[in-house]
Amino acid sequence: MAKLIGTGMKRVDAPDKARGVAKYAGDYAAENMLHACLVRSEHAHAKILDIDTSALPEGAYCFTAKDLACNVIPFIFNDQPALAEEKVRFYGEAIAVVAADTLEAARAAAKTVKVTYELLPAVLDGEAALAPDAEKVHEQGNICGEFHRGKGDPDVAFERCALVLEDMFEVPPQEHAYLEPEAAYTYIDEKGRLCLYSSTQNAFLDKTGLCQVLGLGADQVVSRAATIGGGFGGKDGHTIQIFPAVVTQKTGRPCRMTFTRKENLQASFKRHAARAWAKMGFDENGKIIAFKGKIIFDTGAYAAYGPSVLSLGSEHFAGPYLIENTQIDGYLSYTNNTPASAMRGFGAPQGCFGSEIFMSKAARILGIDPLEIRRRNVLREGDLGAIGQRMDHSVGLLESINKFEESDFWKKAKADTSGEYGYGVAAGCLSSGFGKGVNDRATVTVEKTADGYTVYCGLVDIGQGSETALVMLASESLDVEPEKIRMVMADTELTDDCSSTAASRSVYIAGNALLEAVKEIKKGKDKGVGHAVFPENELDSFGVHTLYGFIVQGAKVKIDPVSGAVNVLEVHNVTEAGRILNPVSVAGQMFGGIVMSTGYAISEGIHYRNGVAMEDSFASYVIPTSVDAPHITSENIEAYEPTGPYGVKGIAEAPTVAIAAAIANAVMQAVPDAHIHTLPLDRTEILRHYKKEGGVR
Amino acid sequence: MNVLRAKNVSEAIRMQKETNGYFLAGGTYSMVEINSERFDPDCLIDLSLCPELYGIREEEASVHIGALTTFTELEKSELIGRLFPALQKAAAEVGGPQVRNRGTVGGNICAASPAADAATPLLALDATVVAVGVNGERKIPIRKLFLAPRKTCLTPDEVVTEIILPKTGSRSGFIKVGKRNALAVSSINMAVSAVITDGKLTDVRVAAGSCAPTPRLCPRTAACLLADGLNAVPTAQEILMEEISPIDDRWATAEYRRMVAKNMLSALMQEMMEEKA
Repeated sequence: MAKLIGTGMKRVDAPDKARGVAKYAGDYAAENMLHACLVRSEHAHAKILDIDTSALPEGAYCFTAKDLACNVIPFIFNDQPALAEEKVRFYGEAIAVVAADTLEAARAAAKTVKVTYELLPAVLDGEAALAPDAEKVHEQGNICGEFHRGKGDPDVAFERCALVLEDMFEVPPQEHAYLEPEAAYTYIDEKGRLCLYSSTQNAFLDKTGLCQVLGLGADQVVSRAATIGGGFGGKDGHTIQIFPAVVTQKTGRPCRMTFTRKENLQASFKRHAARAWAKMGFDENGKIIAFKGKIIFDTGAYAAYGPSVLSLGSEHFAGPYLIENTQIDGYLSYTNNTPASAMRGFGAPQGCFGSEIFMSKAARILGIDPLEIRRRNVLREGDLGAIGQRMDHSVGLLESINKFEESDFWKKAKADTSGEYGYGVAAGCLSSGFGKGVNDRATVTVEKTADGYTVYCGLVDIGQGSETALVMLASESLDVEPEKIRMVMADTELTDDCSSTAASRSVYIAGNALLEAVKEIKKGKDKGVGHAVFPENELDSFGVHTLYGFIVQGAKVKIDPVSGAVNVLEVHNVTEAGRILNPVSVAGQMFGGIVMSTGYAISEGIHYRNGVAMEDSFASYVIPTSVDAPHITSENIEAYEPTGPYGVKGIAEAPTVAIAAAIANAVMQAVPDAHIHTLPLDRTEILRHYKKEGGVR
Repeated sequence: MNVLRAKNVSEAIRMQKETNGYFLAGGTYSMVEINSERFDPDCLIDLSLCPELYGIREEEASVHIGALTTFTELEKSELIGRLFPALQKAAAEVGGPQVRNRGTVGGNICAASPAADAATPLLALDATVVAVGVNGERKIPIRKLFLAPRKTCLTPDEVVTEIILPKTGSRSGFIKVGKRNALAVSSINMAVSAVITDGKLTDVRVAAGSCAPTPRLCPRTAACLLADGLNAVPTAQEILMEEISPIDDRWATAEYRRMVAKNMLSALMQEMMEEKA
């Protein structure tokens, strides 16, 4: 009998955070601690001729590539040095770590380090980078990855379409904008081990990085996640961890480093900028006959998670629809822009922006309701997706559309004949898990204690609420009060490697492992170790996913007649995430994802001038404030995923996939003549076509 | 960096002479510049203890606004709202509540940002800036105050003590457009004031911000409107295009600024002509 499942149990981490006692990496300190900062590249692309540290003041330390055992950050492609040595490939790239007794002294010392460069032409556009004669960012050329999949014959199929839409779409880099900037603290413990507390999404990968770069053995490094103030993908991989660690390794002293917001905006990972060309053909009833798409993701100077983003983004490009004829071509290019890596949605929002605009445009041209045209094309259980992946799980898109149609939001939208507002909808799906062939597993240990149970899990609660979810699952399955559950997470000494806290997988994979461990306890053991492996489909090819969450979203907008500004007044959301473990938590994810992507739609974006991000503070990088965020309502449909813990699916990223398109579609209803194909939505184009009488309503 | 606190304006001027320091009002500009290492003064002279810089005072023909009057005070002032709605509206749209609680009208104009929100309404309302320095007091028409981005005609020793607004019985309005609805730098802003007698315009001023190196009056645009009121708006919009010189920067493109400036002019004129006298 379920007691906690489906309840809005309060977050277990909330009291400490609310009282200010939660300890973030930047809160750690010790008496003889050194403060560190970076000497960063002043150019987007240049050879390093010399690093002169002769003016370094007394008491300050400076470490460069020469001080590292192995100057390669372990990542998918191993293409990034921890500290630039022969050349710099983006503005703000780390060249040297400088440490001193105070932060002020460290910053002053960093200014004495003189780097001599020989400038190289910078590659600043993801498409231009692919030209055969483009300057090379890396020796092997600028093509970092390619993706080519499809089925049927779209070119032939377009011939028999009643309507073919074709356009180019362009979206900018987006910053994660977590409240807590990157931070790490390192020290040597009483056993002589180098210990790290960091703001991270993967304590185990951090340990691998420290071991490799510093030349330390697995038993010489302990890595732990501190309390994390938001990640959204941006803290998955090396951001800052190695820098204080090299100081501690060389000096034996504790060391702390925190990036400024300027460093975060100008030099940390971003969501990939992308340019996409899409062609979509429909029959007269709105059935999609064919889809052809090409998308170029700009991964910046280093691959990071770019190859996976390329794959997932391409996989989701055509949307959550059943399409017989598809061809999807994706390219990942190296440029001298800030490296792009994981960000919530992981490549899907870039492509879905165009395909979801086409769905509403086709509905308008063919005279079909925008929900109905989506209903006629939904993927159902057992169907094959755009690149042939089998929907072998709970698929609740149709139910979500039906529920959305019954909502007050949509009823009011249909009844509104004032002409003052624009309404738009979009649908989307987002995969959960790493995809076929990528090692996606978790091991969770449950131990009986004097007064309850301790759960050991290698994943991180980055603010998304996984700790609370796991407490709920443990409490429910062990039939004890949640207060009896103690969580130990993301500690390479005490927990097992569960890989990244990413890919909307934490509660699903760790939940399954936890339930396996509980089975052992229920057999009478004091300690249970549970393993879980993410399911894969036989049919699928490498990287393709087998489990998706679904959303339908609608936006109500008002265009400011003077400025062309898009005011997003309301958003309604319907989610299918299997069984809902904690509806408050899910609503939190939906609200957060919607606000994050409302910013993507209306105001965010990094603009580079000679490779330098012009947006260097939250004054110029404009995220929505409380008066810009829409009023949001969110519902869930009742569903059950047989492979998930208590029927649960991952859903943290899905709300970012389609909302920019829903807002764009609302704008196009208000200003039908505007050519909307870029983000943030182009106020100049909106103004050019805005007529006071309003849109088509 | 030293921080001195002056107890009155004459002490502040003396301290400046001795230290060559910079005056600090609310700090919402200077402190951001200092913290981001774009401004590195040896000495700051805090004016917040100077009693003569506070208060809004009504006289027969004018209203005197102390230089350290905060945007919150302007926003909440019944007097300002009644006589100078453009200034009240501009004050209400500065930054967010925290910035409005600290930011001052004197500091805003002395920082001389091309996007200063208080500058355009004060230009449209024909304000006079009173400054006191080593050589005594100067009354400067605000249209002569701004010389270049971040540069005024004030000498380093001069403290702006108050801003005088004439009571002309004008109607006035202000529109600001930023990248979001709060905590936004003006991509462009505009204020218009007009004296309207029996439906006829007898005095018009148009001021624009963020579309020239300094906030500026657009006298030819105003003259055109004066002649023919609402009917003149299309012509006035074209003249306005010659009187502003916007650029592309991270806040907006020049093209966008031009489109919005035209819309602002017609919206503000519409608003004022429709307003009940």
